[in-house]
Amino acid sequence: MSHKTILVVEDNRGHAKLLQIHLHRREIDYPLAIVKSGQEALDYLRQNGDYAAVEPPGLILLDLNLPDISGAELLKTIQGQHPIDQIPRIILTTSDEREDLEACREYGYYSYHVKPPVYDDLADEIRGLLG
Amino acid sequence: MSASTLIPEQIAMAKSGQEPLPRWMRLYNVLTAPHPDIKAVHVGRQARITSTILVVLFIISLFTFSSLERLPIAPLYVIGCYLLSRRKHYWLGAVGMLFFFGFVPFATYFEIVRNAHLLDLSAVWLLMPVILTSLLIGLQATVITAIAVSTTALVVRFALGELFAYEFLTNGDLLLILVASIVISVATFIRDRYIVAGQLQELRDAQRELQRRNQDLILYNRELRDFASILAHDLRAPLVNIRGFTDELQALVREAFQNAQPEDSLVQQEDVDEFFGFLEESAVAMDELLDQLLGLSRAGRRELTLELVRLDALVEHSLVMQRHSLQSRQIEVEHQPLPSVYADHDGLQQVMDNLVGNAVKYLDPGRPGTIRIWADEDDEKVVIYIQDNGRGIAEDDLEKIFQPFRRARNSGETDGRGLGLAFVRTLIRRHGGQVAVQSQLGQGTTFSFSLPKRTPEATEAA
Repeated sequence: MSHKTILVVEDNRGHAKLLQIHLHRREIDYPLAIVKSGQEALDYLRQNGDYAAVEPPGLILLDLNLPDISGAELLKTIQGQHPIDQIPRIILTTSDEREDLEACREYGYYSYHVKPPVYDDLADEIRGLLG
Repeated sequence: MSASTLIPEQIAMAKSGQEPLPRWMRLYNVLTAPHPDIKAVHVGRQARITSTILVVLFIISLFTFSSLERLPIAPLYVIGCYLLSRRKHYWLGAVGMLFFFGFVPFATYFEIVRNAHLLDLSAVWLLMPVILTSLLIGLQATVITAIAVSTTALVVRFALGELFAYEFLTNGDLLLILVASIVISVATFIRDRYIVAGQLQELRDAQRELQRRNQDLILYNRELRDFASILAHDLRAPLVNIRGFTDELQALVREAFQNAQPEDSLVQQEDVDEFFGFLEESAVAMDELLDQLLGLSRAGRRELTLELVRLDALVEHSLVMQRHSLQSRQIEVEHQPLPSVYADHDGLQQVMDNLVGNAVKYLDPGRPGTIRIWADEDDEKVVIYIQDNGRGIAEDDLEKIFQPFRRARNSGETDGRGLGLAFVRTLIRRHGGQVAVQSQLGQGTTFSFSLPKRTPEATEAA
């Protein structure tokens, strides 16, 4: 299973970079595929266009605040879409607004972290999910 | 708007720049009817007064002409008066009374009903102008007319020595009664149509304008809250980078220092650590600020859950949080028993924490601190007071302190971001209460907030 990639949906380059640094430091060596918009994430998951050849990721790290479609919309879209909806989703957000998270809970996610996350906890979770 | 604010006198007073009405007119305004349009507002109190007076009049007329045969009229009379005084059945009552008392002289004249004269036609004549006035003008005018008419009639009768006579009133008496009531009616009519109506129109325009502005304000307020929330979130994203990369950079620089020879270096590692310390500190401060801004925005939007809250428990909690300061600075706290209220527990706890915290924070270190907490209540609300003998707030600053990020000038180096009171005001306003402050520089400050008393039923609607 070690070949599984982690799909990082994050439009902020800095946030993505920090995530990369901290996961690497904690010996999470799964390849990170970073996409910068919700639509790109959908293309990746559906293996459309540029992503025709990619393997489905083992985990999605999702920012809620995206330039095109919001993270919540993305969750809603993939809800019930087999086999995409089997991929665990972890939300990373600057917002701890209850409404935002409640909306997402309806569409299903594994956990959420308010940025900046406690990277040790995040790493543990990822290890738990990807083995 | 409460009913009592609408009496014509006050309408006149409210109209700024306008000469007050002549004294006799003002007295008359207070005593008689408002415009038909605002009659509706007054109907509750008016109905009681009208019914009471009409019933009293009836009883007087009963005694004046004591005759058992007239007793059956009593319930009809009372029902008629009652209907007359109700807004909904106003016309029904008036028409019924007119018919009833109009029918009697008719019947008497044509001898349709035997012994109809026993119904005492003087009472009928007494009431006719009263009914006419009530139809034409309004209930309170009716009352005045009725008093004027009946008093005149009674005085006339007494003067004529006919108090216990069983007779019609003389034509002269009738004329007197009619003229009196017509004069009163016309005066009221003129006042209502030409004076009060004009003022009322202005009042209505002003009210409409006020409503429009209120709508604007609500919208504006909502936009502002959304704006604050978006701002806080969007500002937090770059802050995550600033803090994150500051840490990374610090680690890198530290490593570089470890590998370099000390004499090679232009700057000392302590300097660099200090610089990074400033960076980190500022980023953390900004993060806290954004947190508070978000909290304030959330306080304005969060759904309040109303439950029975023991104010005493809230105060105890706030005092426990300040325990360290209270003990180390030997602050005396006088906490009087407070009532329980229906309110949002968490919100109110934050309000209390803020106000108690402020009281402690702004005490004057130069003299022994005392904090008093007590409550006043009446039928409608509870007011909680938190008083300190601290450094006080200048009069110019009093309004400012409730605004976000604004602090009194003498708050000096005291720690704080200036959001606490804005937060308090938002939450108390959302409870339907108000926050007030009284202060004297160098003497102390008293903050108070009011909370409406609610029953659990009323709470559902809130």
